[in-house]
Amino acid sequence: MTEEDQEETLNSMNVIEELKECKDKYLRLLAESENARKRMQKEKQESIRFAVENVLADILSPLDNLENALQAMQNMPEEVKKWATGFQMILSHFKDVLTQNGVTVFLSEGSDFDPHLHEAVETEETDEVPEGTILREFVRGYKVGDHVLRPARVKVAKTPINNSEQKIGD
Amino acid sequence: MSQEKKKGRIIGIDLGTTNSCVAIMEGGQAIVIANAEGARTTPSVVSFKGDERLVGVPAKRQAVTNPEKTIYSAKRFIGRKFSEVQSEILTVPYKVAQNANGDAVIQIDGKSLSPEEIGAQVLIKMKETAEAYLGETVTEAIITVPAYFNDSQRQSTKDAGRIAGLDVKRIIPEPTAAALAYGLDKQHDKKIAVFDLGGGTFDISVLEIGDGVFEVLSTNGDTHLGGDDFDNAIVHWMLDEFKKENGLDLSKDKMALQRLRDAAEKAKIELSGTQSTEINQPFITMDASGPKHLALTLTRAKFESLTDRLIERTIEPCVKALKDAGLSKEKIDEVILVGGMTRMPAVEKKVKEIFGREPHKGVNPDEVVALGAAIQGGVLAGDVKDVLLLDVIPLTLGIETLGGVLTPLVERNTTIPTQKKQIFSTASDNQPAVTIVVLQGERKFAKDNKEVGRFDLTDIPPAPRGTPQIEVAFDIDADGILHVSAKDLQSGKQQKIRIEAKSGLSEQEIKRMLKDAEDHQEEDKIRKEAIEVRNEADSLAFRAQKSLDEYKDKLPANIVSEIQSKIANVKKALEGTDNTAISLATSELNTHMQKIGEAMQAHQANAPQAEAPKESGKQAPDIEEAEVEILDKEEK
Repeated sequence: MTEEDQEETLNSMNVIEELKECKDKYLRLLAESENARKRMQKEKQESIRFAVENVLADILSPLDNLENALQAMQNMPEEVKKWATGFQMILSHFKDVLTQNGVTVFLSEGSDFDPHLHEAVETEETDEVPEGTILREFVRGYKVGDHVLRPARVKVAKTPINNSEQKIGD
Repeated sequence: MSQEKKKGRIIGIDLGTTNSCVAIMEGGQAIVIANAEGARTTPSVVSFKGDERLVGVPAKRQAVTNPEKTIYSAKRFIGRKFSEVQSEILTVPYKVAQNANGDAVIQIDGKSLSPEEIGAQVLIKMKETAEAYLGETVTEAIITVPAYFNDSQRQSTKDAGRIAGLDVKRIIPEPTAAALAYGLDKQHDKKIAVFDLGGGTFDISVLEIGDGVFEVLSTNGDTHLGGDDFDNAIVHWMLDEFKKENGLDLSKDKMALQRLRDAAEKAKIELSGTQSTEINQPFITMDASGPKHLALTLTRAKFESLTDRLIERTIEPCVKALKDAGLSKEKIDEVILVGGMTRMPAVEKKVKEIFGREPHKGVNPDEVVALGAAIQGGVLAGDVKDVLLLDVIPLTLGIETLGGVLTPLVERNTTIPTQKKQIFSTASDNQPAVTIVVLQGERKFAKDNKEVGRFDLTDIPPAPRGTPQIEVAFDIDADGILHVSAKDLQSGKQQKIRIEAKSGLSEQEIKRMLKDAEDHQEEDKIRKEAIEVRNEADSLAFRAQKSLDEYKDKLPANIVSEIQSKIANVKKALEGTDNTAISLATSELNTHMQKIGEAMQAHQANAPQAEAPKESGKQAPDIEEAEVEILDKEEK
C-alpha cells in the first residue's frame, strides 16, 4: 500500500516536472519569437536604410563626373559657357535631391586624415604641413547624418624620411 | 523570468586571408550578419597608429599612409616558423621577424606582435558584429581554417580566438564547412571536391563523408591566386588600351589608377551576368590638348582571354589533389564551388572540365564557409536538433474540387503544427452531400496526386448551388497527424477524419513527386486552364439562366430569346471537348448578358447580383472565400 502511494507520488512529481519543463520551453519559444520579430523589424529598417543609401551612393560617382566636366568648362568660349550654366543648374537639381534625403557634403582639404571619413589614395612628402594633413581631395566625401555615405579620396602629407625622428632604430 | 541561464549561441566565423565573414543560426537557418557598415564581409586588415587600432574598412582606407603598420594577410604567418615564410615576407610591406621560439612575428614600432594577436583583432570585430545583431554577449565560436593547416596553425587560430575573448568550441576545415552549408553531411560514403577560389588564395580539397563525419583526403592549391589577380589583368589591359589611343601612361597617376581598379572590379562582376560591358571613365586625365576620357568595351570573351592563364593555374593543383587522394575524377560524387571568383562562368566551366561533372553553386559562394561554421555551431549548441522537432510538411495537402482540380490548403514546407480553414460550396442545386477527398502532392489535378483519405458530409439542407457554406479545416499537429473536418455552417453538421502522416510517403517518393510536379508544370497549367474555361462557361450559363428566369417579365422578348439561344450554345459546346468553341460561346453569352443590365437600367431597376457566399462574421481573418466548389458527389 505504501509502495503504491509512493509510486503515485513519484508519478505525479514526474508529471509536475514535465509540466514545468513544457511551460519553460513554451515561454522560451514565445520569447524567442518575440525577439525574432523585433530583430526582423530592426533589420527591415536597416535594410531599407542601406538600400536607399546604396542607391544614393551609386549616384555620387556620375555626379562627380558631371561636376568635373563642368569645371573644365571654365576655360571655354562664351557660347559653350551658356550651355554649361544650364548643366550647372541640372547638377544643382541633383544635389537638391541629395540634400532632401539628408545627404551632406564634407570638405577634407586641409583637415587631418581620418580613416573613418577619408580613403588615402596617395601620400606626398612635405615639410610644409604636419604629417597627416590632407593636401588634396580627389573625390568629395558625403555623409547621411553622422554616417559616412562615401569617404573622400585624398592625398595625405607625409614627413620626409630623413627628417623623421620616429625612425625605428633597433 | 526563467531561472536557468539560457545557453548562448555559437557563432561561425570564416577568418579569411583577405576577408572575414560571420554567421549564426536563426530559426533553423544559418544567416550571415552584416557589419556596422552594412557589409557582409569585413576586410581582414588591422592597422596601428600610436594607440589607435583600426580593423576592417577604415584600416584598409589608411593603408597607403601607413604601410609598415597596416597588417593584412596575417593568416599567411599564423602558427608558422620564421624560416618557413621567407617567400611570404617579400609580398608584404610590413616587417616580419622571429621571436625566441623561431615563430614568425610582426614588428610594429619595434614591438613584436604575434599573428594570433592580429587575427584576434579581426575576430573581435566579427564578435562585435554578431553581438550588435543579437543584442546579447557572444562567448562561443566555431572558426574555420584551410584544410592544409597543421596542428600548430590550428592551435594558433584557436589562441587568436581566446585572445578575442571567444571560447573556440571547434576549429573546422573550410571545405568541410562549405560541404555542411550545402547539406552534404547527410550523405554516406561520398567523395566531395571543394574548389575554393577566393580573394587571394586558391584551395582544392578532396573530402570523404561517411556517417556524418568528414575526412580530408587531400588538399592542394596556389597561395597566391585569387580575385585580385583577375582585377589586375583588367587594369593592365585598360592601361595598355589607353596608352595605345592617347600615348599617355596612367600607371603613375595614383588617383586614375584607383578609378581604374574600381572600374575593373565592377566590369569583372558585370561580366558574370552579361556578354559585354562598357567601361566609361570621363575626365580620367588632362593634357595640353584638353581632357581625356577612357571609353572601352570589354567582352566576356576578351576578359576570358586576358585571364586564361590564371584559370589554367587551377588545373594542376586539382590533378595533384586527385592523385594524392588516390582517386580518378570519375570517383568524385560532388563538386562544390566556394569563393567569389567561382561566380565567373569561365571558372565554373573549367571546374566542370576538370571533374567532368556539374558543380554545386550557391547564391553567395563567398559566404558558404561562414554559414557552414554556423551550422556546426548550431549542432553543438543543440539548436539544429531542436529545430528538427519543428517539422515541415514535405508535400502540399489539399482537397479535390470542381473539375478534378487540387485546391491546396496547406502548402508544402509549412512549419507544423498548423491549422488552415477555407470555405467551399456546392456545385449543383439542392446537392445533398459533398465528398471531401484529401490529397497530397504538387500536381494541379487530383488524379495526379496521392489520395490520403476521403469522407462524405451528408444531409446538407436543399439550397441553390454556391449557397451552402462548407468550412473545411486542416489541422496538422506536431506529430504530423492530419485532422480534416468539414462543417456545414448553416446546419452545424460536421464530419471529420484523422490521417496519420506515416501512412504516406517515403523520402524517395517525395523526391519523385516533387520532380514530377516540376516536369509536368506546363502541361498541368494548360489542362488547368482548360478546366477553368469549362467551369467558367458552366457557371456563366447557370447565372444567365437564373437572371433570365428572374427578370424575364421585365425584359423585351427578343433579348430573352436571344440570350436563351446563347445559353443553349454554351451548354452544347460544353458537351464537347473543344475549348476554343467553349470560350467563344462563353464570351458571346457574356456580351449578351450585358444587354440584361442595359435593359434593366432602362427599367430603372438594378442588375441582378451574381451569387456569392457571404462572409460569416465568426470567421477568422485568414479564411479566404474560395471560388471553387466541391465536386458534387453525384457527378463522380
